[in-house]
Amino acid sequence: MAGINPNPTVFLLMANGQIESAVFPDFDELYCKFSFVHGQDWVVTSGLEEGISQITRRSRDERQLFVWNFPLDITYKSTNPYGWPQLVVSCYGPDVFGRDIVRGYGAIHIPMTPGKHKVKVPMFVPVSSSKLQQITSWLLGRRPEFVDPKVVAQGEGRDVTRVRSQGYAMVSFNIVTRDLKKLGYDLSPSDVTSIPLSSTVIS
Amino acid sequence: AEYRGYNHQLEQESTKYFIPSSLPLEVANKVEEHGQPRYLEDEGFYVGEKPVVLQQNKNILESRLLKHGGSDWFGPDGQVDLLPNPVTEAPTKPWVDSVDELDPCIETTYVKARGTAVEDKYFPGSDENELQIDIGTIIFQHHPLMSREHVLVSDITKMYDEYRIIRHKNYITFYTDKLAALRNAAATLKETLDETTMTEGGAQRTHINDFTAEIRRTTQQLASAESAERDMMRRIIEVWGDIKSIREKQGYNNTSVKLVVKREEQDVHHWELEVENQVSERKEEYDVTIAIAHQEEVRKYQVQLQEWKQNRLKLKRIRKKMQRGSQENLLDPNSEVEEEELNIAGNIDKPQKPDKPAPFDKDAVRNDVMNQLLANRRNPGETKHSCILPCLGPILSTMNFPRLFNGREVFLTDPKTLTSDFKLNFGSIFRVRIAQWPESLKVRVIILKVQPRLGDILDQTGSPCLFCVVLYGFLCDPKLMLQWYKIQKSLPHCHQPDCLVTRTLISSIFLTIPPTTVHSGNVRLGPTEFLSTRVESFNHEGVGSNTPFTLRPNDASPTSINTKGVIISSVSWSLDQDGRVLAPKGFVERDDPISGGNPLKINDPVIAIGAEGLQDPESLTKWVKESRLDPNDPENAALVPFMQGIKDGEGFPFAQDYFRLEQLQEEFNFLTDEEFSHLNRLRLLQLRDKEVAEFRNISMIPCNEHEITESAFTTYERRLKEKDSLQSIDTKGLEGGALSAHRVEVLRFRQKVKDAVLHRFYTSRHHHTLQDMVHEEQIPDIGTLGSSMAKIVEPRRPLKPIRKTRKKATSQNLNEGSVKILINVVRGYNIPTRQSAHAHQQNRRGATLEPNSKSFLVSPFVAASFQDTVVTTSVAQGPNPSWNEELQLPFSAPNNDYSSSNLQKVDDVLFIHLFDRCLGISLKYLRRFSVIFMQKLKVTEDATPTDTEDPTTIVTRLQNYWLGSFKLPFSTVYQRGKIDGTFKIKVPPVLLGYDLERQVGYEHRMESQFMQQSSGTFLTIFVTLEPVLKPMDPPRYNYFESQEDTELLAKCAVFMADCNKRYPTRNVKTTVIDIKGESVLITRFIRALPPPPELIEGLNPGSKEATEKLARFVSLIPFVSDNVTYAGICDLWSTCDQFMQMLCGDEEEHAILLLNFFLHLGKQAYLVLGAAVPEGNTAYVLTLDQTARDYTIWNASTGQQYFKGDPHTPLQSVGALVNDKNIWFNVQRQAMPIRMHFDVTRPADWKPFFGATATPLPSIQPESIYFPPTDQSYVSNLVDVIERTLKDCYFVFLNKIIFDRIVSWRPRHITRWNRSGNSILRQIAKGLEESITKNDGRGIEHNTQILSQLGDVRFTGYPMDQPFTNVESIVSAVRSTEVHKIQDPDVEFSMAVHIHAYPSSVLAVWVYVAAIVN
Repeated sequence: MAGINPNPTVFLLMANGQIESAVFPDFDELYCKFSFVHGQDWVVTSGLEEGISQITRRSRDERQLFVWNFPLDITYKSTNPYGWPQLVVSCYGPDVFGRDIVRGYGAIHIPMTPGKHKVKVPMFVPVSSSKLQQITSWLLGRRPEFVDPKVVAQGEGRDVTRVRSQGYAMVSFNIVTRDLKKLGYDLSPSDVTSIPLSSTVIS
Repeated sequence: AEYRGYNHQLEQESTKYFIPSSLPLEVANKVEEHGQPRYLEDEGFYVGEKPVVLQQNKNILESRLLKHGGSDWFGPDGQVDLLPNPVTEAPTKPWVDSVDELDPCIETTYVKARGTAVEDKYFPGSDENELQIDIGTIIFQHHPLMSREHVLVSDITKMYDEYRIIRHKNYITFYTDKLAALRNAAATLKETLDETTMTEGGAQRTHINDFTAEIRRTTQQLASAESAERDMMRRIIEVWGDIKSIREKQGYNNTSVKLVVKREEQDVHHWELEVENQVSERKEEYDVTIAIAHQEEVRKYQVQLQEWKQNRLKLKRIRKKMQRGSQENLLDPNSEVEEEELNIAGNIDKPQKPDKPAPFDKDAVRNDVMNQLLANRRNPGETKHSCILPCLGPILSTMNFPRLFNGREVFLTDPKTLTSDFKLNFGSIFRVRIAQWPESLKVRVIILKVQPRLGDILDQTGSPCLFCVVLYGFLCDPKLMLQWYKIQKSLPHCHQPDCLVTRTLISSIFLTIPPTTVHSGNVRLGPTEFLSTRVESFNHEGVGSNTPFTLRPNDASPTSINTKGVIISSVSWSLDQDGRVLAPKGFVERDDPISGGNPLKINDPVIAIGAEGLQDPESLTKWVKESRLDPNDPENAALVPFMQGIKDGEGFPFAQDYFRLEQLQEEFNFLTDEEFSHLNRLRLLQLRDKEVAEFRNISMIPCNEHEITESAFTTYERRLKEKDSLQSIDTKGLEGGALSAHRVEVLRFRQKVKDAVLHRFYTSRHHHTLQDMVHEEQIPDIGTLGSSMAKIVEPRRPLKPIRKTRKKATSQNLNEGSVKILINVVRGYNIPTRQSAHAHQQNRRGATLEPNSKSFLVSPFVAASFQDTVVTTSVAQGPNPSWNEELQLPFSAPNNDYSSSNLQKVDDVLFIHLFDRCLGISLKYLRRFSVIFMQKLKVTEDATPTDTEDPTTIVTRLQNYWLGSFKLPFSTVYQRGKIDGTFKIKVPPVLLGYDLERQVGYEHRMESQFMQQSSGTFLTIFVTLEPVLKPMDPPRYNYFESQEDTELLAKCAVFMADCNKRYPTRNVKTTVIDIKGESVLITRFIRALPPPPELIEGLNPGSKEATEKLARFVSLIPFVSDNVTYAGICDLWSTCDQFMQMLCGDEEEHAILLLNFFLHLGKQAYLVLGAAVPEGNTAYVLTLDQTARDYTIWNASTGQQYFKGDPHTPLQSVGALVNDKNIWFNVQRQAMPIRMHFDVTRPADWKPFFGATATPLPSIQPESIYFPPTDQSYVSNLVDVIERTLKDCYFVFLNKIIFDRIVSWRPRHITRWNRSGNSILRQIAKGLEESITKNDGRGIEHNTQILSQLGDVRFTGYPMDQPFTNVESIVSAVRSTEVHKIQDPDVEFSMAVHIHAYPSSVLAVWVYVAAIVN
């Protein structure tokens, strides 16, 4: 079959899915931002790297869900699994005075194995460094925020922060990879015997 | 609810609550099945030390545990099962990064350092300890290559050896003699017995009995010894027969063994006598043993018989009595008892009569003895054997010895060829230097089998075998190792180039490490046996090893023999030349008599438990396994490794009692390190991870190794190479050739410092604070709250413009062309004015100077150049023009990388030049119309072509004459965001054709106070970037180490906080970072330093001239911003000697050097920390006169001085003053130097850091700096000559380059050089350096001088001076003045270069360029 390179130099990773919902007790309205963070050897070939969702209200039933169903669709090209892309989700919502306040940060690696995945992203926010600051930040509506939401996808500098967990978001992914195995990266679980190599089978 | 009452509550509680008792519980409850507690310790088990727990708490815990029914918490002794104390016995030192990061949870205590067992293994003076290992001979008792004959021969040899040993010991004679002696003794004893009376006979008799027994035993021993000897002989003869038959069968001899049997006559009489003796002895013996025993038994029998008879009588009587009694009292219970008695008595058997022993049968005994003698003793005659071993046979073998020393191969003998007698004589002695106690010494016998290549016709029997023995061990002299490796590598190649070499191990033998008393003088070679069970079989005569073969043709079952042999060797300590034993000292003089002799005892667990001499770890392992030691007992800890046995056969079985990092690493390596280093992709990834400049932003590193070309590394490798070999000047071309040796040194030093500093900051850059990670509102204090409140009630002023801060652009959004440098040129002051050449000539001739000869003014304009782009303003008029124009220059970052770390490194310089545009009139025509034109020129100030009367013939040219320039490094603009101010333009001291304001100014601008105060030309400009780039965050200082006292550092922090609170914008520093990256108190940098003596020679130290000369010297040291040098990491302060060594630095280094010089001159001087234009925060030098009223401010990096009241002082604000004793912070209202008081003793104006009484801290500056070519009297003549030639080199070189360049810049024109002008200029240039330091007005004289010599010419030119950094910068500076752009066809150029050399390679380069139009 034409277009299939028997000796690939890159592998492709396609992830689509959605940020389905979130559970955040005590809040009424929320919206979320997402961004993908990836290493130096990764290039986005198509899709959106960042996005911001609509504001959603908590469901009125006992599940108390915030449903966004916000689609994600991204395709990566890469030469190196180092720096595997991560999805960084940050949630914001207005407080009682209508001020926009950060409600949670969370990050998760895009699943590596092909197939459908549903992941739960725990969310957390940085806490004020003192009680007094907590009060003033509450009064002024300026809660501590990360300088860059992407820091939650890195390890560096996290040791100086203090965070509190706030809830979680549910994200579903459908993963398709190509040429990974040809390049020597066997990501399929051991019980899956093999993914048919299209070039040999079809031609 | 219902009230229940207190008692009820208690009742309820007692069912719910359980209060554990703190009293000790009964042991029986805690022990399994309520039995008795067992104390394991008493039974000899090791229980370990339990941690200390308060008994009360233990009781509570126990009762709680018992309550919940957990009896399995208790040990058999009824105590809670506590683990042994987890605290290790040996203290360890935790890794601590810095003092601030000590984990508060971990309590650390100081423990004095002590040695460990590991260290004990090393002994001091290790090079003195030498083991000498002597490998003598290897004798193979069996070898696979042996033929049957060999096997038999080796058997016979062995047997003969045994036989010889037996013969040597001579048991037979010994026993015979003993027998004779015994017999004699017995005979004499018997005689005395017969003579003496029977009274004492008892003792004598027993003596005789003993003798007879002894004689009998000896007889038997003699018999067995004789039979053994006979057996041996018989077997030898048997084997000899076999050998003979084999030899006959095969028709040749493989060996040279020969058995000789000697016969010895013996008389028969002796034989018969012997028989007689023995028979009589037997008889006696019989008498003693059998007859006497019989008599005894008979006697016993009679006694017993007597007893029996008595019993029987008694029984009969009783029985009669009973018969009567039973009738009388039947019911008597006693009767039964009696009956029983009776029964018992009746049951006693009659004693047996002993058999009479057989009588002594003399004949039978004689026969027996005869037979025995015949069997055991040889017939009359004796055999003797002898072996002769000549050399023959086709077998060719080589052998050498590798040896093992603590599991490492340390030595290899030379290979030896095996000879047909299977004996290898090595006779090699190895000396092994040891630094550690040898734990094992192993000799390996190795065959090197060299097989011929395929196709070679070589009989396999003839294929040579090589035997090696390698000594394994560790910590030996590396030289030995090297030597061995050489042998190993060379062996297969040098000996048998075309053969395959296989190494097979035959066997390993452990040698004993001798006690320290054994040295090479008294050691003896001893045999050690070895055995190999390797299977080897051949299809030729060789019988093989461990394979069955039939030795003799008539043998029913095949035999198999293992390879075995004896190695004769010795191990001893060497002796040195003086005969001292090279054994470890200090161990011998031990008090303990047992371990005293053997120092191994303390180190070697094996010897420590008493198994001395056990040097074979393998057998020790076996022993440990069998002896079932308690593994929990720390006494046995050293042996625990043996309990696990040998993990892998080859490895050294000792598990050391130290921890080895990553000991399993080897097994997990899937590539060798060498292969790893060749992986390009891995290398690329690693370099990128290290953020090496060339690779930092590489993305999409190819995923296959073959896709990465070697060229990816070429630039990086080139850079590395350059770093390595800065001294290879030739490769760097012309510019490199200009570098003197000192400059090369400097470059290398600079590079080294830069690398070290970069490395130090690399780590500190990855530190983060909360502010870096989290945006958090600061707590508003009263002040900010108040001001925000006040804002509400503030009156509205809609017309007042509000400053808006521009948005800072992030580096991601930037690309080529989006960043611009904006330069707003506002106005200029005091621009030099043109002078008419004719006016001058008139002046000279007529000696009448017209008062307003300023008629030739200037038409100045400003050109800004940056990165090869030049923009200009429009042309303005007059010496004080106002342009008010905005210029835009595009900025492009190197590699298109707009990240702050990259921008920081941009070292481009923004040049702002001041030009005068005038109309040059081609003088060819001018001469023709000279009269008209001159008149015209006099009348109209600005002649234009259209004004002239003859437009067809008059040609004019627009020409730009350089007046001065001003440099602004990009890094300054970038760091400060904007630069706004009035700057002094650097105008050359002599500007041909122009009047500097000095001459013009006096008459006309005397009234202007402005001009009265300052001299020079000024420009007011405003420079900024559009958009504003975000400058890099300064590094955080708290991460730097410091040698300073912590109290002092705390004081610094308090002082800084206080100062910043009062005047946050004022520049003040207490600690700065030195080039080691450590914070140092600023006062330590200041110390009076003697300047180069040449500079102040013959000058009054306090004079103005001396100070100016020093300032000039300091300013000639090239200026390089720290941002550029240290990649924007931070502001580093170097000490003066470092500064002189690097020969570059920024403001503070210059300022400190100048200040230190001034202090040496005895001036009252301070370092001024403040803000200046354009530098921003900077350091200047302030000198005060005695009254502290008059002051001078020095800009050390330019050498400029500003006096009191100079409005154009670049110093805009003074933050602090520093000297070697103290730091004073400016607490005056005003920070402008003109409005300040500089009396630091006034606390209202200056806040000191130290109190008045504080002693100054010692300085980190050296006492004095050595300025390399300093004192002429000290430096020898030779050095002087070298210096001069180097200077000449510079000179010639520079000339050449600039000539060439000027020619090349003028591609379309012929460049003519005015040679006479050159020489004149050269003369002048030489004097310029002096004139500038002496500051006299010789500039005018130059003008006149030149003009007078060249005649009627129009002349444009100027000398430029600058510190020497490299040739390129000089060339570009000359170029930027645009002299070469004069396009008059008649123009001629003159140029001269002069270098004034100051000490320490500080050079002032003077370039005098002139354009002469005839």
